[in-house]
Amino acid sequence: MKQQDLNAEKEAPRKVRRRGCPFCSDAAMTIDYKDPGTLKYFISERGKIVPGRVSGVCAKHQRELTTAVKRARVIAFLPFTTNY
Amino acid sequence: MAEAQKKEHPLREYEVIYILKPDVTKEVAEKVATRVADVITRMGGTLTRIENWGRRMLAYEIAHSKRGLYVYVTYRGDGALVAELERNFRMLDEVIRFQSVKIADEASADEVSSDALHFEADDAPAEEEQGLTLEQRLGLAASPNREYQSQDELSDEEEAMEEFS
Repeated sequence: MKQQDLNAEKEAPRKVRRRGCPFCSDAAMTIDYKDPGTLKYFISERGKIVPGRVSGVCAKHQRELTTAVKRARVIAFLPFTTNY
Repeated sequence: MAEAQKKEHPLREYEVIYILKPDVTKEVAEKVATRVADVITRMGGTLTRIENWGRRMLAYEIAHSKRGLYVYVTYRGDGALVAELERNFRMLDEVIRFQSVKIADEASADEVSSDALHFEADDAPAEEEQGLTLEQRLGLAASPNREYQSQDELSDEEEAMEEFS
């Protein structure tokens, strides 16, 4: 009984709705380093890549996303940092 | 041995984006595009697409420039061609940044449409372009785009951003 209560307490604040990976659910959404409009949703205000656990992007697409953001930075579509 | 290996290099598909200084003249932009086309054909590759993306804001300053003239090129070739092309970019002072990316391990056998082989300018001079060689079209098509942008730079950049969002 006591153990059950503890578990219930523990799990209560974790009721964050987990969204599915946007790239898996929408076939029209592609990852392309030449498309900073899409990529900018997955970087923070400071230009950092948002972790997959926050954005809900699955591991496979997060890997592709990371590469795309890094390429986009090299050709100045995205900033490396906003603080310079 | 090295010679034999060289011949066995498979043709792959690559794309390269290069950024020119924003104040380059039309002749210089033309010269660079011609040189890119020359290098690709000289090294046994095929130029499949060349697009002028116009002057865009850079996310950060490169070589004291806040904006740059983007040119997008796709081609088929081998690794030696990529190296040679990049060597040429490094020699050109007008090119402030370039990036090559492999898009396919095997070159597709698709026919190259001739439409893809000139800069896509917003107000392409259709009547002037006919009857010109590839190299001439590469350069000529770049000029109207540049003039258009200098007149109406801000709105054009907004358009460019919309195109990408």
